[in-house]
Amino acid sequence: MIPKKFLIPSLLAAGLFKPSPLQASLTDATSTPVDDPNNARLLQIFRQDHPMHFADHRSHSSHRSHSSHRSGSGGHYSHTSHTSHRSSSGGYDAPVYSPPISSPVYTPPKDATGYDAPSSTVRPNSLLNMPSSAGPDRASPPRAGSSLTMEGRTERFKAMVQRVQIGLLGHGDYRGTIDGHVGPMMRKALRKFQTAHGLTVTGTITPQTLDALKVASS
Amino acid sequence: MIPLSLQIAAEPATPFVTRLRLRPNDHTGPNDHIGETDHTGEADALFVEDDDGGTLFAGREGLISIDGFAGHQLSGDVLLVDPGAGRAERLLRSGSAHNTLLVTERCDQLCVMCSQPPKKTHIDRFDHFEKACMLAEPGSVIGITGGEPTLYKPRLLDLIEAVLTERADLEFHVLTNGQHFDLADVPRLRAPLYRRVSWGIPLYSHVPATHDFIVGKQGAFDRLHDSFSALMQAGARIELRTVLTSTNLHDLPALSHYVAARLRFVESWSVMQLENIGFAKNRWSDLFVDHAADFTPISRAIDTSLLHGIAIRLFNFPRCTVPRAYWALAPASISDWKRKYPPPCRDCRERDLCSGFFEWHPDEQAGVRVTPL
Repeated sequence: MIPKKFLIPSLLAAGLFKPSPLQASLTDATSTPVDDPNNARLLQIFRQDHPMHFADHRSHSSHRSHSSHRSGSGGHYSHTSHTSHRSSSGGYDAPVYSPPISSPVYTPPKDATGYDAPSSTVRPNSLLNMPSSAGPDRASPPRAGSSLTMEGRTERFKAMVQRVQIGLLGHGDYRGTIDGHVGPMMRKALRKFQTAHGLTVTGTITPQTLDALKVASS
Repeated sequence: MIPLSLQIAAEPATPFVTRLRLRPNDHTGPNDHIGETDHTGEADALFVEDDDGGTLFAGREGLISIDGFAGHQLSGDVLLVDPGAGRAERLLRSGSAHNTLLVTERCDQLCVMCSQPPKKTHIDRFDHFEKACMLAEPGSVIGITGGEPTLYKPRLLDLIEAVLTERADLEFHVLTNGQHFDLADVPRLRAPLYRRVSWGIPLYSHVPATHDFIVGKQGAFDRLHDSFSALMQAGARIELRTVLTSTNLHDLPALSHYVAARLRFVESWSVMQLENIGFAKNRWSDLFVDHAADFTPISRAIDTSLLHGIAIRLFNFPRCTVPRAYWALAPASISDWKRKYPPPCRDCRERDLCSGFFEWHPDEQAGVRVTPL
């Protein structure tokens, strides 16, 4: 059997990397062939060094034009092919490798329900593929806006409710005062009107109700 | 500043989610886009009329009177209406790329520069948020933040999965401190719909003690790396975030080597300038570093990152304060509703591409720093 994962562990053993638990699990995850319902998505997220990065970098001097952003995409196709090199290496048979220090054991998910067809394209990771307005800042959440001083909302609300009350009164469905309040009598009248006119019965002032009363038309 | 909260009057009801629309068949609904039957019409409130001071909408929950806006300005917005409080929150503003849901105000870290200092109480509004997301405009990216959203991890993942299953066109971007993922989450997070979720996670230094100091929690660095391990194995999309303070500025070049060597699986790395609000407001002179005075640590980190194929970006860096060679890395990152440009920016050619300043950035400071391009 040919050891399939000898390279990275050997480098680790040679002391080229200082192993950390994260590193060990990374090594394990990237070098373990997985019967993967996700089409090796995991492997695709590991970008690899290759000469295109120098091209990426150099094009910064000309980033005045946005078209230079596109130049990065050429690099991306080669990314994809690199990735497939990597995943094809998973085809060897191999003994099981244990990372040098205790590391989380990777298990492919057993449950394949709910998967939609995963797209095999890698999301562009290069800076140069990002629009310059990329990545909204979400460092902090919305806060309440400054409150408006106008108290017109209540007046506006009441005026419309009064028009509806008058309309309902005209249809004989409402017997309360024209006070602009949506109370129990008003609710009852609305339900009665809505039922009689074949509208959705909600007991609230719906667009349908406004139309039917000819108070306002949307 | 764009108001996110509306003064309203509405019929007595418990708080509810509704979407405002000018006409019943506006082609702004999500279902026009994805070709499903319009079962969300029930949640819509339709325009009735405007007057000088505001506008009226009516929906299933009845009449809603709103101050300070004309109907067309709010069309497409998804509101959480609280009739009892006389208030409505614009959860999702139509046409904005910066919609963010604050799912909790609790947090288990206490960062020295926190822009949104945590509170102890939690008001659970997940059900409202889930309804709101279903009404989002086609193709939106919805931000989720806190507090710490993963304190409610099961409910959070339920929301994400429910929404992304129903709405194949939406994406989420979740800001989290990365203290709560473990290997048990891996199978769940490997579901393909999580391709449409990115996780914004802060890492402030490659030195554990420095990171722990900044986030105000012992062992946070180590716990974060356990989460990284789980997220990495799930193939999760990670946006690393590093806010610059006087404490970690000079770690930045070393941090870039650390990211390039150890955290290659991150999708992007955002280096962020400080926001003058929350804890940072009172500690501003201690924390703030003027990158225009010495850009070297930042440029070294950028060069290393680019060399190693790490997609690094500068957030909240006005372009005129950044050497020209790095402008492309400094996008208009500050959310629309809290962004401002001081008067000297009026004639600047780069303005539309520039982050500008936070609404609460001291004007005198902003004015001094600006050199129109």
